[in-house]
Amino acid sequence: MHRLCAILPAIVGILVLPKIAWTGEIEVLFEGRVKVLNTELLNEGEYVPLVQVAQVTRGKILRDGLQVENVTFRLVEDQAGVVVGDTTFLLSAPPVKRRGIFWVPLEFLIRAMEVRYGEGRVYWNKATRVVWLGKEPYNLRLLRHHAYPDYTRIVIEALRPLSFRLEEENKARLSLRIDGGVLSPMLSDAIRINDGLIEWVEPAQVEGEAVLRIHRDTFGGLTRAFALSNPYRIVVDLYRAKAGAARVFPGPESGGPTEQEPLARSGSPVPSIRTIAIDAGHGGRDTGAVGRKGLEEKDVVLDIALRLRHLIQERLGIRVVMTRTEDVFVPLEERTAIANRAKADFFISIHVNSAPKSRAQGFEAYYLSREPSDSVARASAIRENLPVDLGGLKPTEQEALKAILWDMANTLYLKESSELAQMLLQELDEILRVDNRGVKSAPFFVLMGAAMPAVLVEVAFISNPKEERKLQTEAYKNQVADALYTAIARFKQRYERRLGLSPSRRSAEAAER
Amino acid sequence: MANPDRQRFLGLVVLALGIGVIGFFLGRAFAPRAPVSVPHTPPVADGNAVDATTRLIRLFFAAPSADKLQEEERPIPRAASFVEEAKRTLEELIKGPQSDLNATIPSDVRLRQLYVDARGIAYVDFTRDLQTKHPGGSGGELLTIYSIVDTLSANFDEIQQVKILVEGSEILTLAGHIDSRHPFKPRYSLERIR
Repeated sequence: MHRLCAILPAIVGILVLPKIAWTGEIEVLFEGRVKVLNTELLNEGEYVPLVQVAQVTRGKILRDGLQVENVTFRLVEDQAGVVVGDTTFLLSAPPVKRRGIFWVPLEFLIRAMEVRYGEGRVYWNKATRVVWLGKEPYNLRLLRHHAYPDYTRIVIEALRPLSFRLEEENKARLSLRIDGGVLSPMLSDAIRINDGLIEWVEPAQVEGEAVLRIHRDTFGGLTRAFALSNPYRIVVDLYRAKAGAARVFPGPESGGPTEQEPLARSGSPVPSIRTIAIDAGHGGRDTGAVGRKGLEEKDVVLDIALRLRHLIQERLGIRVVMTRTEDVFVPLEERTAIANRAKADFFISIHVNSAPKSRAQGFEAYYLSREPSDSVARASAIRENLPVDLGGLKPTEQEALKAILWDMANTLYLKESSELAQMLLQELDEILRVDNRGVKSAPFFVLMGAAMPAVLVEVAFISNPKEERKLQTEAYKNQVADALYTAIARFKQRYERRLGLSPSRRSAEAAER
Repeated sequence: MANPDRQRFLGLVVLALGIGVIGFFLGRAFAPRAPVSVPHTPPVADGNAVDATTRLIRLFFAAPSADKLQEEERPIPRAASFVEEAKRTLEELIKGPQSDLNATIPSDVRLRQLYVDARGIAYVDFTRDLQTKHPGGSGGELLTIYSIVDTLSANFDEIQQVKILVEGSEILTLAGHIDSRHPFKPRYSLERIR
């Protein structure tokens, strides 16, 4: 009877097989066996039948999912959220149902196999299309990097704490050696960075350790490596070289106050605003809001942004970095990255608003809210982003202090952002005779990740026919650009005066007491 | 054993027993093929009853000034579970206001699915029109998001946060501004800070 149960679906499967166009196969090597899974392209992603996932995980198919050992995955058709126990994880694409059976994206296979065979043991090689179980589970699974104004950060995520050391092999090459580190096969490729500081990073598996070779573009300034937890990760920072002013990070022995100011826009002997980032919202295939007469947000905001750039360069003589200067699509995360790489001192994103059924008109400004929409992820990003060394302290103490220090840095950025927003509206209010809708805060995607004060300003309502008409005139666009310019000039003055007092230094010292 | 109909029937019987007391409430709604959409969240009886068959819900629409949300009350028929009632509530929100308030969701949008996990996060899945037919603008985007989030949170104690999905998948933003990768908590005041 049992054998019949197993054979019957197989026969049915064979009968049904030719009717479906398979697009691929993958081999799964497990328990001394090879199983070929049939995959199909659905929703632009590669899917496998849940039935086959059950076979390679010795799982049990349920009405609404899969049980592997004592873990239950609950699937809902067309829902990317998979409920596992009392938590939910999101797949990159939702499961689909075909002929009454579930099909799941490939990543689900890996996830389910990890439950059966252990986290870190399931290997997948895209090129050879083989999934296998490693004898030695990998413990390094993710590599990422990010350019900040003063430094570039490389982060490698580990499944457990590992000891490591950073060695300078020569001027052009650094090696991060991770004791007992086993790289996930997903980390086998070298990564090009080319940000003027690091050319590329090359992970390598050596006997007993994993090595991350960091190829420098130019001989940089100081470097350092440290560990963070939740998730466990090793962080390497490479600072840009500073002429003359060597920055000293205290070694583990010296527990005294650090030389480094956590908040300073460091490097400039006299604090000053030297670079401003201007972001013209939307662009390319993303038109933004559209007026009744067909005026598109992406065109208006680019026009105003270019006028503003001209005014700043001409009258203030400082550098302006644009996230776009033509009608192209720029991803939101790339916009702040451009500003960070350029070491911009602040970031202004220009948009126009829309409320089709309302007579709303006027301008408003936003800055990033502190609402912890995802407190855990946010907290870890926060700690990672804090450029301060607290050598001599226990890791737990470091964590706590960093959280406090970052909170202060963030508070300062937010305070400055809100002041800049306020000034922008004041000037718009002076020049334009429309409603001042005030300063607000919200979790804006484009403002996240900015290592500087950042503001988004909505200069008009394109949905209001009167304002749409005005936005088509040279005069009005000049007025808007002029108002924004005046606010920036005022902000620059105040900002520099305040930084001269160096409140950041005082807060850093206060925190270390 | 190999008969799928028989299997399905057995599954339903087991499920019905498992639901136990609540099965009583399901009563006539429990047709043989009734989708028990969220088996992992047991239905919970709730208050706010107008009478036995309807309950009053609060819907959050855009104020005429387009800078805040305002409430409108409306009765909906009671359902077997709060999840079903939450779906009906969102369908009412999509229908738009009956007063001088403005709709926050394009009228072509359909609710595809709604489920709530054990942490009180509601996953609400809309059709693509929520993105493609959205008029744009930060203000409008905030009103759309928080009209959904506030409406669900205000009416259902079981829902603390809301994650918005489109066509079953996570979205970065609805109209290019607000980070929608995380669940939102309600924010009943969208008023200016200064």
